[in-house]
This record gives sequence, structure tokens and C-alpha cells, in this order.
Amino acid sequence: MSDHERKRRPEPARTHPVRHPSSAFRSDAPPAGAGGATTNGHPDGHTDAQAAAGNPFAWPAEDPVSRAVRAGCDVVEAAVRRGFGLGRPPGPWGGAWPPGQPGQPGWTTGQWVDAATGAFTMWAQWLDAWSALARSIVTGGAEPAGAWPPPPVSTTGRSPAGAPSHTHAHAGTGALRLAVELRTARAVSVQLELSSGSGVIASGPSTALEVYGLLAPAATGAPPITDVTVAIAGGGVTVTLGSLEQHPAGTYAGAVLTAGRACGTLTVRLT
Amino acid sequence: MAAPPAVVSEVLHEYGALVRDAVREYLPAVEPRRYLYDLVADYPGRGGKMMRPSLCIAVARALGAPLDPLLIAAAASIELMHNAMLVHDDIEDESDRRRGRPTLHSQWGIAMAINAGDALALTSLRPLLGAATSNPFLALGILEETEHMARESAEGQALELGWRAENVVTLEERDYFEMVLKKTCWLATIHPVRLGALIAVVGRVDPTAFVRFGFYLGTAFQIQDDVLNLVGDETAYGKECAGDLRQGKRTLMIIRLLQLATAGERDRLVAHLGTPLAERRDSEIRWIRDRMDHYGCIDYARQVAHAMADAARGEYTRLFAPVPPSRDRDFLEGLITWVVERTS
Repeated sequence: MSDHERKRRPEPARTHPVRHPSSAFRSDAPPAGAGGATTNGHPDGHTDAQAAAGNPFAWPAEDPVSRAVRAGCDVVEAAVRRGFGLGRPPGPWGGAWPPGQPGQPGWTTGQWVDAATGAFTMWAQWLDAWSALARSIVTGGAEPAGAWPPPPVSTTGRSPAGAPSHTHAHAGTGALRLAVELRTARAVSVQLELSSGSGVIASGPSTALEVYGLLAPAATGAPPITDVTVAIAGGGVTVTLGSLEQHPAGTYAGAVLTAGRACGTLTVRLT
Repeated sequence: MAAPPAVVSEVLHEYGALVRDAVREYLPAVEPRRYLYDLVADYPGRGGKMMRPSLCIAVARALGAPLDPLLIAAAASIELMHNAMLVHDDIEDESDRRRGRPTLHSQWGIAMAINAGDALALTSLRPLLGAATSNPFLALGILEETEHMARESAEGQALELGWRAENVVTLEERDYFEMVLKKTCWLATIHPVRLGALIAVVGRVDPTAFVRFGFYLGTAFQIQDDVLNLVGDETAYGKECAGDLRQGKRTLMIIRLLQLATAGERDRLVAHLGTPLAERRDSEIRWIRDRMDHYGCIDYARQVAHAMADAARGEYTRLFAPVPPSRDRDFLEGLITWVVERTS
């Protein structure tokens, strides 16, 4: 063997733990050939589908490291299922709300902030509607000419299930017009909120907006929606959503960015 | 596993300096300095890795948030709370050294150290109160997250202290992970990641999505910390070597040793763990360490840490793949390697 020739060890066979692309999005089934796996991918026959769905590992033959990693995986899945509001004192309703309702112990911060923001938005829209009514009375029914920039917007659009559609929806008077272009037959509810402090609305119709993905809560195991764009043009906002057939029902949300800065949020609800 | 990319140390250095400056502004420069505020400023002034606040800032920026005062305030709050907990942890663990110097209570006594830790914990709320004036809804959300994190951490610490107080030796890996999830992961990784995401998307994404990433990353971090306590260089590590064995901490390696030891060895180990701290002998600690080597307990822990890092990488891909490439995203990916390859 020459001095330049290097000895090479044979590539060792990897026995544990083996990640597999098929588990990247929490498919229920383990990759083929994962030793010791049962039909739901859990080596000890665990039947908790949610735990199995959350298993990011392909279980190989039973060995101490795999067993330990599986234990860790089970712990975090159990914690996610429990939620993180345990021990929180009951709300003003004494914790008597049915599951999933506001005020119930276990509500996440996101839900609280969501509810607070939603309530504020409804109040603002209601106020806006009354303000518009008062203005129309004062001006004898003639709406004052619209001017750019309009006030901060929270605007929603809804599309029924059916053929791919082009939907327009209007929020309160003075809000941006929202157009939703769908290339899907799914029923979709879209909510776009642009921050009044971001300067996006004031900067005019040439503003470039970006959305890089809408995430669902991890517990659903749903992949993010990435085929989505938001654009401001002609005094309105157009949200374009691509194929959503592979996405399970649920709420998907993500940040709307302009020049790398968050300027609002986009929420899509699939039913 | 490859060496962590240079971007990790760069970002830790840059964001660390930013947060250290912010932390200094929140530390009261008033009397009584000698018996309180000098002590309060002691641990934050010793440096540290700054992983927690850097993680918060990097997640927020990777998701599109600007590096604004609210984000820096949240990161400073995390660092202050971390330091407050270190003061009390060192008392509870009867530790001698922290960041290469004597612990606060060994310098000033337990009573003054507890009081300084209390003051530091309260100081960690100041940045959040300041943020409330700019965005009350978001500040309320951050405050609630902080309260939740502190409670989880206390529950995790209680688990570990309870096991040691009652000399519980029938533990399994699941128990260890339950304890680490609460004691370590919430403050070290889950909370910073959730806060960063919360700030970036103004509360619109359920932060539960980030719990798994934080858990796997934090667990890999904790196991590596436990390993370094046994094999690390004391100067770089900054804490007393084998301190965990002396304190009788239920690490993954101790749990593994309890599983593999012969009946006689197990009795000896259980007796050591049941001995009052002051009476634990160096010879027994050396014997435990020898048995750990004999049964491959440290290698086992390293493998579990690397597997957890693999899982964290999977969660990272899931969460951050839709996000545009950036230095912050690279940092988050590199951090996964860093937590298991670090030597301090």
C-alpha cells in the first residue's frame, strides 16, 4: 500500500435510531423494515394513534437507546395531549365552560391572544359600521370620497366548498377590498390582518407582501400550507391559495411579511 | 455528527452582547448595593452561553420579526429569570461553583443569596412591563407564557429534589424525561422558542407547535450537560466535575447504572445515594464513575443525546422549512449540533 493510499473502514450498518423521510410529516405507518414495529408503528403495540402519529422515529429492534428515545417521545406527546394549562386557576366562569370554549383551563396563550384580538376586531368593525352610518346621515347619504390609506384592516373572505373560485369580500366601510383566489374545491375561510403600525397600508398599492407558509398546530400533524401568496394591488388585497386537497381540516396561520418584517397575519380555516 | 457551524458562535456572541447590554439596564443601580443589588448583578455579570435569549431572538427573526425593543426586552427577561433560577438552584443543589467562580451562597450565605435570587426573579418582569405600553395584548401573552414556564420549572425541580430527598431509585428513562421536560426544557428551549414565535406572528400561531422542537433540543442539551459534568474540563465547564454524582442527581447515566448493576453494586450505589451530602466519600464517587465506564453508561447517554438531536432536526425541518433562508435559520439548525458537541 502506498503512503497516499488510505485505509477505509467499511460503512457501519446503522441500527438505531433511524429517521425516515416517511415520518417527517408524522405518517402513522413506520418505514418498511423497521424492526419490532407493529401495525401502528409502536413496538410494544401501543394503540394510541396520536402518540404513534407524533413518533418521529422509525422504531428499530429493541435496544436501550431506542427504548430511551421512545420514552422521551412518549413523554412529549403526552404533554402535548395534556395541554399546558394544567394547574391554571379557573377563569371567571369557574372552569365550567365546555371543552374548547374560552376561559377553559388549558387554553393556550395563542388562543387567549386570538380571542382578545378577535373581540377587539369585532368591536372595531362594529364601531366602524356605526361611524359610517353616522357619516352617511350627516352627508345626506353621500359617502365621502375614499382616500388612500384606508384605516387598519381586518378583513375576511369565505368560500363554500365546490369548484375553485374567485371570491370577494368586504369588511367595514373604509377597509381594503379582499379578493381570495382559490385553486381548490375545499371550503375555506380566510382572515387577513394587517397591522396599522407596520406602514404597509400607508405605503400604497406597490407594497410587496410575502407569506412563507401557514402552520397548523403540531398536534394535527398537518403539513404547512406553502402554496399561498398575498399581494396588494389596485386598493385591494388578493390572497391566492393553491391546492389544499392534501391538507386536513383545521386552522393554519402564518406571518405576512414586507421587506423581511412582520406586518400582519393570515389565517386560513379549512373545513 | 459534524462540528457546529461558525454561525452558532457568531450569533451567540452577537445576540449575547445585545442582551447583556439590555440586562444591565434593568439591573437596579441603587442602594442597598452591598447586601442586595451587587449580588443581584453578580451572575448576569459572569457571562454565560446566552443560548436562551439568542434562541428567542433567532426564532422571532427567522419568522420575520424585526430586532425591535420588544424582542430584546423579552430576551432580556428570559436571561434574568434564568439567572434568578440559577441562584436558587445552586442553593438547592449545594453547588460550589458557577461559571468558573464560587456560587453566590458560598460567598454570601444562603439567606442573602435567596433574597438576591428573589429580587432577580422580580427584576425579570420589568422588561415585560415596559413592553406592555407598546402592545398590551402581546405583553399579556408573554407574561402568561413566563408564568407558565416558571411553574413548569418549579415542578421539574421539585421532582428532582423529591427523588433525592426520598432516595427514589426505581426510576426509568420516562421519569427522567418527564423531569427534564419540566426542569430544563421549558426555560432553556421551549419558552424561548415559543416566545420568539409568539412575538413574530403576534399571537396567531398556537405555540404548542414549537413544544416538540424545544423538548428534543432541550433534552439533548441537558444530557450533554450531564455528560460534561462527568467528563468535561472543569475550567471550561465552569462547575465542579462529578458534582452531579456527589449531589446524587438522577441522571440518565445513574438510571442506566441502576438498571445494569449487579445486586451488590446496586445496593452500594443506593447506599451512596441515601447518604447525607456532607458524608458522601470521594472514593465512592470514583467507584460509581468506574462502574459507569464499565457498563458504558456515558456512551449510552451520548447516543441518546444524539438521537434526541436527530429528532430536534426533524422538528426543525418541519417548522422552519417554509421560512426563507437566513442567518437566524442557519443558527437554529446549527444549534442542534452545538448542544451535543459543545464542551462547556
